[in-house]
Amino acid sequence: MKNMFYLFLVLYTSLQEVSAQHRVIPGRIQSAADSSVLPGATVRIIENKLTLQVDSKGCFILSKPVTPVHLSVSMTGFASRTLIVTGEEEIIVVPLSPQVHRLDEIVVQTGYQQINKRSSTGAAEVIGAKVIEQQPGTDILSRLKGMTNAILFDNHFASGSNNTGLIVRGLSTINNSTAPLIVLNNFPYEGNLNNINPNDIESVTVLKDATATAIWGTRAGNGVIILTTKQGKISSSPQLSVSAAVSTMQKPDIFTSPAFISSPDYISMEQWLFSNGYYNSMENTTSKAALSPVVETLIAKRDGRISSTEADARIAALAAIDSRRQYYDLFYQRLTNQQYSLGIRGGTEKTSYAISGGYDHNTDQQALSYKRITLRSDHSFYIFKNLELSTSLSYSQSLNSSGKPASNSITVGNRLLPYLDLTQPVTKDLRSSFTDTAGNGKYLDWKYAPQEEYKLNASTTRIQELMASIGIHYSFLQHFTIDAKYLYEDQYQNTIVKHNVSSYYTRDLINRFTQLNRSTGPPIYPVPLGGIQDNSTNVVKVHNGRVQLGYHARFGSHKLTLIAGGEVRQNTGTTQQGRIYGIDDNVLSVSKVDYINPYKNTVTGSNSYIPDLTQLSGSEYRYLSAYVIADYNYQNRYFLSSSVRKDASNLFGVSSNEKGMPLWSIGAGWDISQEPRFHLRHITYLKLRLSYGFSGNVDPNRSAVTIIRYSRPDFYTNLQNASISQFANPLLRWEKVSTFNIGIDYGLFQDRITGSVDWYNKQGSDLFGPAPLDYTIGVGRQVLTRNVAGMRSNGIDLKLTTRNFIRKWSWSSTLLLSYNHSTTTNYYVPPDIAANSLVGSGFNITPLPGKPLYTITSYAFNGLDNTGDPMGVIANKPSKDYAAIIGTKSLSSDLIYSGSAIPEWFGSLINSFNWHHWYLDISMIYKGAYYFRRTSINYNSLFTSGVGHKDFSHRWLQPGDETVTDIPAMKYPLNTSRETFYANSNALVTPGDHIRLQYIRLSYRTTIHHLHLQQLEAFLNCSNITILWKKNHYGIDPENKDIPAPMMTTIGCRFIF
Amino acid sequence: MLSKTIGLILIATNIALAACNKYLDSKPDASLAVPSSVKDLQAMLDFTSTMNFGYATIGEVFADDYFLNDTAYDALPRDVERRAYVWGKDIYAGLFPNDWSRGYDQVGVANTVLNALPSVEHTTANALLWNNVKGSALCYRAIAFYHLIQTFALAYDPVKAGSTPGIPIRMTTNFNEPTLRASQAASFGQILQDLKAAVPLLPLTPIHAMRPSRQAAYSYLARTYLCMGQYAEAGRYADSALQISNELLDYNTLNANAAYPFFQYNKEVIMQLIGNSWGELSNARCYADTNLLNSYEVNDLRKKIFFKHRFSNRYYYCNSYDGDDDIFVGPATDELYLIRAECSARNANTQAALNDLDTLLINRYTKGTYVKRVASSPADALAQVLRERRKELPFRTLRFSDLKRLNTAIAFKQTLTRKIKGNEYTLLPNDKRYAIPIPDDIIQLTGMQQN
Repeated sequence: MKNMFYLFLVLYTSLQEVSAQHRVIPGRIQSAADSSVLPGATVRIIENKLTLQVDSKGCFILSKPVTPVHLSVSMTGFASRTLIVTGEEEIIVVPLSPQVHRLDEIVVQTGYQQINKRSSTGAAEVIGAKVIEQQPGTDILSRLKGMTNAILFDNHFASGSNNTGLIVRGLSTINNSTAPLIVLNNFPYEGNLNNINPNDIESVTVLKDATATAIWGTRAGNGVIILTTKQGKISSSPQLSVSAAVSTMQKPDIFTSPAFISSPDYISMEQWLFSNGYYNSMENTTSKAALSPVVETLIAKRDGRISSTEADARIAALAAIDSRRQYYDLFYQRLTNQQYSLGIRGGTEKTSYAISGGYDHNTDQQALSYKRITLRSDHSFYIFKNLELSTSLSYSQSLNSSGKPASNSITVGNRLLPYLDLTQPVTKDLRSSFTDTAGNGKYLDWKYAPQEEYKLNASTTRIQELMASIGIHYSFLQHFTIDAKYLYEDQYQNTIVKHNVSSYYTRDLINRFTQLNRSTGPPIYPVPLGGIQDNSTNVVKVHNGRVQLGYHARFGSHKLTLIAGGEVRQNTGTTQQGRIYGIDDNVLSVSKVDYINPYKNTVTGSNSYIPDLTQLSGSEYRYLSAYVIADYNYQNRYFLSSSVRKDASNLFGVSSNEKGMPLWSIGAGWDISQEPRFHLRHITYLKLRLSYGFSGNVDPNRSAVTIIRYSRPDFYTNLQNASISQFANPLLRWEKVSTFNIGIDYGLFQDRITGSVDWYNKQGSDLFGPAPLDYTIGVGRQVLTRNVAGMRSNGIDLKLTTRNFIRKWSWSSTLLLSYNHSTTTNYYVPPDIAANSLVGSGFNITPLPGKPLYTITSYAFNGLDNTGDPMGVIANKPSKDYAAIIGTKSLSSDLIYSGSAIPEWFGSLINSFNWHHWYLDISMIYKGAYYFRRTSINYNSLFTSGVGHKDFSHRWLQPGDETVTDIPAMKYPLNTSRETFYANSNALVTPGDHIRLQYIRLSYRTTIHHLHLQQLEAFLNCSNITILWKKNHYGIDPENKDIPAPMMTTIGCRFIF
Repeated sequence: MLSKTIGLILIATNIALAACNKYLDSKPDASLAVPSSVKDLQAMLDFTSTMNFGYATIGEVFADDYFLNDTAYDALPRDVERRAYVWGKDIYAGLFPNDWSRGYDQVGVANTVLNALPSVEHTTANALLWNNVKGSALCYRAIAFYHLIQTFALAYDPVKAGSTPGIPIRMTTNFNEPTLRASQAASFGQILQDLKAAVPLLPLTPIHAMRPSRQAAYSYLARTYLCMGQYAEAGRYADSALQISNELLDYNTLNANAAYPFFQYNKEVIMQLIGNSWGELSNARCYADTNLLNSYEVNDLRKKIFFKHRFSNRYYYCNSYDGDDDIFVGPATDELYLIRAECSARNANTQAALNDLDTLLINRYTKGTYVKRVASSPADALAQVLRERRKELPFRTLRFSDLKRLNTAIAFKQTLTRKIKGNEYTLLPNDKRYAIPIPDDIIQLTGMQQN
């Protein structure tokens, strides 16, 4: 190896000018571990700022200096070095060691200040660009999955207010949004997270403890995630990076969906119901609701319109159809996501810049298309030596276009049919006996064509977002700084749904209003013959301003930082909705309609009004905040920090003394390894952190006074009208949460082992929760959200990184593990009052002290009896009185509390391997100690909506079956209370524990010098690969209960020049 | 130095916050308001889906206007409906919203308006509007209480009204105030008080049939006094209402073949109020009572107009004054004629009773076929009026009230029977099930007495 090097050196130097031969020193950069060649390093002479060329073999040439010079050698992934060259050397060999993520170099961005992680006292997690680049994804948050122990990705709360599905350290606030606050650079981000190009993000900081809420105020009760974009650096050469990635995913295996009943099973059920007269009353409804082809056949047979053999033949033909196959073939396709980005950044002596652009084009498995363009530019200038001006401008535009119908989404008479033939037009909502004869053929065709309809009802959503910010930073009087920042955010969102004139939607609406006059011929069309277009526009404008005064002083070993500031923020939203009728696409003309007068409905004969979708709404939220931050550092060993903040807002109806509430936190840190007397050889770093803080939250949807909401003019009277949106709750109080955190950061064996352990405790009181309400009061609801509960939450966050091998090939592992156990400590409502309201799937707090905060609570299931009926419990005695069980007779002691609905344990293990230019990362995710309620056959849904379940074929059929199955018999007449009981019984509670192989990423990284390519990376990533282990025996993936998502494969490359 | 700086900053902050209070006074949502003006309060009362819909119909489910056959009974979508059909228990198990909640929602809105009104200035400029708001709120509250007490309390007993349970009379929406069940005397007393207070405040006729009016208030006074057995008062208020308008539809002019022969807001409608829907009452399921059908005379147009033939001697209802499937429960002029006639007969004014019957029925018979009624005695007149009441007002929820109040007189007692799958169920006169069980969760939460 060494010989090779000298040979190369000779060759190389011989190409140089002969006269230069004795005036240069050759240099070489190699790995400290195995002396292998390291290309791609940057070598600079500090004295004259000259950058030396380093070739692909890691070699460089230095002119022999007259006086000693300092060389700085730096390289991504390796610790930088500085060495002195005296001029006497024959050759300079620079060994570089892999970089250990020393805390010194990690900066915690709080959005208000930057703190060196080493001196921080709070529990914060910083995720760098390398980690963000590991997983592909259109949005930034999906790339963090399994990468941090700070955030639990759980879709339990993903619907509704917390649509990100992120939970930071359990939940501190209850009935409010569980979403953490997302901050982009300096200010909370109000737009759609999909507007942010993840390639623009340099780092993500997660603030987990009380310091987060104390500094970010009431909206930060569930943690803060701070996104910091890539910035240029003063005096750095321009760096251009280009990247591209393409992901694909197979069609989903819709055949595995448990919501399925076979066509023959379904048909025999229909025949059985028909023989019981179940459909009799449905033959004569005023709505003329459609019946299934099988029921229509049975009616025709009963009425003697077709022969028995004909009926049997028709039914046999239907039984042979499996709609899933048609959905799969007609409506599903392979997913393709493309992502391209381009960025350049750098700086001169007085300025720095970062400019980037990105383009994404995603097409999902149902042909839903998403296109996005993002542009971003950040600049900063030193106008004077002590005055820095920074500006930033970003723009993003996206377009969402609707795709094809999902599996099992097309209904006939509001029922799903497993034998629906999607290739043929069907009578969808109205019985063909009506549509075939009504109006003597003067109505438009009343059939629905599944393969055409989605094309004729295209919906598009366009989002445009502009963000502009300006800031100054001024230093004066040696110790003082002033920061002023302003951000303007403007998001425009427009959704257009076009119902073509030939769509079923339009035809049906026109027909329902068509007025026929039998004597005078031509029909009158109150809903004009033409297309229909629905339009909805939403504009959000946010102004953010902040002024901050800083004092930074150093007295010997004492360092003091004081910051005081104020913020103002205004979020204005307007929404406009409307509908246009009678569009003629050829000339773009539209027609007027009469919204005022009722028309006789063609189908029902009753009075109907033409749907009017016109609506305007507007909101304006204003916030004012003031805060003070104080940090103290003694000898880089002892750290103290504290902050106080007060927020005020114009939230409605909150009485003035509750509009603002001070939030505060204090913290302390002790770097034990910096103690002079600390001499433990194997412990390279040891730091203890403590923090405590107090925060509060008020739900903007609760009010101490009655609030009404105006709606559109009344349907009947055309008068202005308003409904009560919030009833007064004079006893409304703030939710209060205090958080204590103790943590240790450590490094052992020359940092071969590094990591942190945090233990925290949260105590909440006056938390919002549902309480059964005496609805005699007349507030329109059974349950009212009030300050009803207290809670305690304990948790551990563990991070452990080990470098197992550091030789020619290296292997390192990162283990992230989190535990969170939250329990209700007290509840202000007696548990046996309306105990049935305790039953749930863990979306509301469980009002029983000592139970996990979000418990899956069920009716007790005592097996099936010998008639196939499920057995429940009332007052500790077996019972089949389902109405009483689901009514008010159950006691809280009759219910079963299975456990938390949110994983109490979760974590991930990432193993990283490196050999030469090859890198391999394997990530596994674990979630445990939680439960979910699986679905089963619900005969009510089956009879009324055609929703089947695979359990149907395992149901109780005959006496004796109760020993082998828990699935109740199908009985008639239908007892809806029995169905409610079984669906909410503990028979269906299933453990959610599982381990998933989250992703495998293989990449090749190299440097090509003659192309000025600092880094070339090509990678292959397979994500969502498979479930390695699951606790349940039903074959259910707890995170994809219906249809498992197939593996996603991504290939991509990145060039940095 | 340090403490001074912090002190200065805190002072500056507080000054800034105080100065900015004005900034925070702006409304967060343009469509929201704290109800504080006449316009706001009127808008709340004009929220028709709460105020004009949702009236209790469980009484109609219990009554004898209709019946179900075995298959229709089995096919009822909910098991609570099967229990309700045979006058069983647990009628509201798991049902929300229900008759109780919808009724008290109306009370809640009315109370919110009435509690807010004193702080709204009453000026000469806004007097009409202000009075209309107050009158409407009182009228709505009384109407809601009336329908609740018809459903959840036994027939009014003048002797024991002070001790027989009525319904909770809530006058505020403060949920820190417990709900107590008032006596019948107190409940009926509040209804009468509200209606009488509303009368002078309301316009004679409304700008829309969905709004309360003086005529509607008079009609409910007549209904209420009728239930209380105070016939002189009931007759007087029915007369007051008819003084405002007494128009009747001539059924000869209606198209009996139309899916729904009646139009919404027709001239007999005094106030448009709609009941809750129950599976039993769907016209696809239930058939009109056979005895009732057989009671119409040959030339009586009501048989053709109220009912539609389904098959083999089975008829369903299409008589809603709403012109669709919804159950019309509001007052109309035809009912007022019958109240006035009944009160005249009970007060031995036979001729007045017969005059009212004639006025009504001449519009109900095929032109030229009606023969004026004669009566041998006031009792005969009363019996005739009650027979016509039965034939004129089915499926408007009035039947349950009538059964309940008439059961107290020996002459009009009736035992109801249902036959389902070989079992026979009976509801005896004055059975305690004439007061529908209050939803169990309400009993649990309030501890009030169950029926």
